[in-house]
Amino acid sequence: MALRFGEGEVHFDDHCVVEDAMPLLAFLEAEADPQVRLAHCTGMHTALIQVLAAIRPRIGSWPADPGLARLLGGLMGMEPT
Amino acid sequence: MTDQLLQRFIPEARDLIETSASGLLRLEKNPKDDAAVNEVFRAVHTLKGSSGLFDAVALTHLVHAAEDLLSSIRADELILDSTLIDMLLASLDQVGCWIDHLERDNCLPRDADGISNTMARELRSLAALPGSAQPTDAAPPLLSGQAADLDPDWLDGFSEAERREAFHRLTAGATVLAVRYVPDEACFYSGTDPLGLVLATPELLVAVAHPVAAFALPPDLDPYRCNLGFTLLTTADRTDVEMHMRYELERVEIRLVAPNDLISVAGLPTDAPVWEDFREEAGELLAAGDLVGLAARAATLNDLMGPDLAAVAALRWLATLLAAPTQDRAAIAALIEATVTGRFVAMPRQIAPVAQPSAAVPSATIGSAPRPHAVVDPHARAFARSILAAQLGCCEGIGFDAARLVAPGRVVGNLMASLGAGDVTDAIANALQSARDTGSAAPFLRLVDRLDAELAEGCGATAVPTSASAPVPAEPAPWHRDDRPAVSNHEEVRDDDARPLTHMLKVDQAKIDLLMNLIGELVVSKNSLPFLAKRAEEVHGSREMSREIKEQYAVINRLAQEMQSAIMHVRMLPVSDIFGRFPRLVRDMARKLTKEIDLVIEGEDTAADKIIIEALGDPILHIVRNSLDHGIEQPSDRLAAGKPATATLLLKAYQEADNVVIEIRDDGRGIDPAAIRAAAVAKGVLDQARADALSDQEAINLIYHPGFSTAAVVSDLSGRGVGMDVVRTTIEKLAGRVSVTSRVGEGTRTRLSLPLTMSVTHVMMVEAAGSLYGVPMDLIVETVRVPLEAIHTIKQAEAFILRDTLIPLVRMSTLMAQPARRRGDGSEEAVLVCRVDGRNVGLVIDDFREGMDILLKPLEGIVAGIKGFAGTALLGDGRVLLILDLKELL
Amino acid sequence: MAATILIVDDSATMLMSIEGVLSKAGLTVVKAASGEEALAKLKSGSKPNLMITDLNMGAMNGIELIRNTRKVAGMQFMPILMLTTESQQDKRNDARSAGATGWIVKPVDGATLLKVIGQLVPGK
Repeated sequence: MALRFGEGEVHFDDHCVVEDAMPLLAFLEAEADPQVRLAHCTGMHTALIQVLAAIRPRIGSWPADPGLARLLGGLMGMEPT
Repeated sequence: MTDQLLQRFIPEARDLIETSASGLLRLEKNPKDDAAVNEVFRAVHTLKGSSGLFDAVALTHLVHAAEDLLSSIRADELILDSTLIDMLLASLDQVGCWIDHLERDNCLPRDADGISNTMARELRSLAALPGSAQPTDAAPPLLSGQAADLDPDWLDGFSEAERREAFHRLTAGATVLAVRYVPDEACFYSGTDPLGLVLATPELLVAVAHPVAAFALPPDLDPYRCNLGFTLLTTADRTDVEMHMRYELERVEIRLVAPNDLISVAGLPTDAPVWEDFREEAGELLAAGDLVGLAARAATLNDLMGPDLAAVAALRWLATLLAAPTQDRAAIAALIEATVTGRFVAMPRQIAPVAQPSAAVPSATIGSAPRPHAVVDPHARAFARSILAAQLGCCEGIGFDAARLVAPGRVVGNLMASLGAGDVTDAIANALQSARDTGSAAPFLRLVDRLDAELAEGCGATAVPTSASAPVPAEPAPWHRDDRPAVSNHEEVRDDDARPLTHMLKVDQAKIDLLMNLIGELVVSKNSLPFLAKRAEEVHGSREMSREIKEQYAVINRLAQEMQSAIMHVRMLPVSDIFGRFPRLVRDMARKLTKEIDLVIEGEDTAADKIIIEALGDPILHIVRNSLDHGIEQPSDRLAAGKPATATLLLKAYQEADNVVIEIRDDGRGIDPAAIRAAAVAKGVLDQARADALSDQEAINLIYHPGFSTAAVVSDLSGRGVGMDVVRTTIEKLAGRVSVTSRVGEGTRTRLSLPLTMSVTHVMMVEAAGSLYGVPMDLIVETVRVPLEAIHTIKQAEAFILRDTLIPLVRMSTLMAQPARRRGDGSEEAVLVCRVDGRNVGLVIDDFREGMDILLKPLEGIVAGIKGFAGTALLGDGRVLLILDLKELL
Repeated sequence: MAATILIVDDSATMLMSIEGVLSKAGLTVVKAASGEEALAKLKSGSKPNLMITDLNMGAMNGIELIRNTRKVAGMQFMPILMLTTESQQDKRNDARSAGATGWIVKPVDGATLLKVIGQLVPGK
């Protein structure tokens, strides 16, 4: 599993696949102030990025891939760090 | 793999186009021919399918539109009429051009998208109006040219830094493509991951995503329904992008990004007066061409002001533009304007780039070479007007201040001079003087108003970009008009380039030529065998050996001849290669001339040498055009003359002994010998008495006389102003002959007869006794210039020493009984050393000329009996070159 | 973890040649000689990252296989490539609507195939 759910936060590891979208959505909905950590994320399916774009959780860390970080940042109206 | 596929696709596509076109022509004759409808539909359908494999979206798009139209016709929803056939044929022509382009460059031309959109739209508009034969001219393609332009909102998501990066790539020579991709919302269910695809785009600069619709809130949010669209910038080739996105091409749009598309000025507004001053100064610097000064001024201001201002964003862009390898002056001017307005209003793409800043020129010397207004680029004018408006604004703003009027005066003067609009320095000086005299800016303002009005004349509504150096925004030519569709341009291309492409077996001409040369040498070498046989018998006394050599010689001789004829046949092409284009041409011309013509083609399998076939195209075209234009009457005239309304034009080829014969026959009104006689006399070709003495046939033959061209004979449609003499010259150059027979009221028959194969002789042209002669190259040993003192006279015979060998000299002037006209300073003689009958002879000539390949024609007619000439050849300029027969002469 | 590719073709030659290309590139290959066999493998828990199927096969053709595959749990989102010849253009749209991701034109060019797989199976 490429998603690791922790206490109030979810880690994206490596490439995260379309099947992760439902668990991700369920998690983000269940948590009051969920945080998403993407430092180890090398890529994600479109389904995942649009869940992030729709729910707009806090981004604890950004992906190292500048193209992915830029696209996600633009979509969420945030500046990747 | 793509390459191999493409190579397979191209001939297939050509076949399909041809099948479709001939089917359409059949359909025009009989619209109820269901078999033909199906055939055309299938061909177009297959073409559409195959083309989808390649980087040819525009092509597929157009073929798709044609397919839809045909589909309606097949379903009897639409009646096929000539307008539709015209459009379909024009589309096929266009596709044919693109196929050629694909073959040459592996991609479609840059304007393909635009043309495709326009043509497809027109096809679809017809398909949507069942049975309508509305002239398509009624709905001009208003959107032409814009189709391929980049909609500015495409770039909205990109930051200034990203845009600037793309701009740098562009000005550094890369192409930047903008790609917009809106995936199908169910695409996840077919295994597609748009984000992965986008981020993996080759040479991706930057990609952004945007929701297609607002996201629903949970629990209505469906993560498996794709709600994102993407826009990206890449420096990859279009081919690579399309290859990358090949399964999603239907959802992808690709546009070429122009530098100005990237410029955007956004930020906080400001109304500090410093910007007005900057605009004034910058405009002046720009008008004076001082780009270095302008850059420095902008940099200073940039350092002083806050980065969030829109005006400062304009300054940053200004710096970027000024630092680019070439400068776009209109964009620079628009940016200067933007420092005040806070908005960048892009001037259309653009004035000639200035390679380097030109030095500021003192105003007094500017405009010394005024040019007429007409040469000024409309965009330059529009820009100039904006500067004038700015100057007016300045002056009106400050009221009258003699000192402050000087600067605008200079700006206006420089501006007009830089536009080449003439020297207005004096007018400005006068205006400023009277302004000072009257204590009012009015005289100057009136002058500026007047100049502005003059400029306005040049950039009114009708003005279009004409600058040749402007990057051409894909501007599809209007393609369907009453006269000739834009495809006529392509026809030239087809005639010149495309035709040779159609042969399946492609062998480099040079390889065949090499083979021919080798065989030629073989023929020459085998000729030494009889001498060997003679030596065997005479020197070595071996009669038997001699006989064996002769037997072997006979075998080799036969083989060599067979090889020669075999290689000649390799070069043979069927005449269908040239006949093939006539059905369409005759149809189009007949429609244009409102004549009814039935074209009959016979013997298209007859073959002849490639050179002959290729050279025959134009003469036949010329004759056919003459026939259509002048020979064949209007249907009403034909009926009145008791002939069927539909004329018959016969194109026939057949072999006759060693000749290929092409006959072009019509049943039109024929050539009137009386009219020819009259015209010939009027043209001064011959006098009345001689004209009267001519038989009718001789009179008709006059049409081949150079300088004889009457409107009654030469086709105005051919539009070249050449007469039938050109046809004759072309044919005779190929060692062929032309004859024309005609009976008034019954028709005309033109007969071209040419050799099946060619024998090319390589000769050197020499000047001797004031004329040009050809000497077969294989006789020439070398060419030397011999000093006069090196020529010895031995017993009245001249000779010279060449590498220890005494070479006898023969003077051409003596042979020709003509005075010599020596070139140069007379201190040396030009000598052609030839080998004749086994010995070297020096031929003294006037001068050497170039070598050339000619077709040797035997002497005929009154010169047939003259000794010393092997034959004649026609030169490119129509002159006749006599080829010397040195064996006979010496 | 290497990606697993399921190849479905009733031609043993084709299976072998594609398997050769893929295993040389370090991919795990599962083969099926018919649509039925492929479907059985998928239903019994085989979870390939991508499936490549021929169009013309005996009882169950490629398009039917794709349609059936999409009904198998966990197979909705798997990328599927269909092998087509040039003359089967019109089948591509059918394949797309049945749920194919894309197509590969026969004869299969190894480099192109690997490139496409790389695109469709990211992170492997």
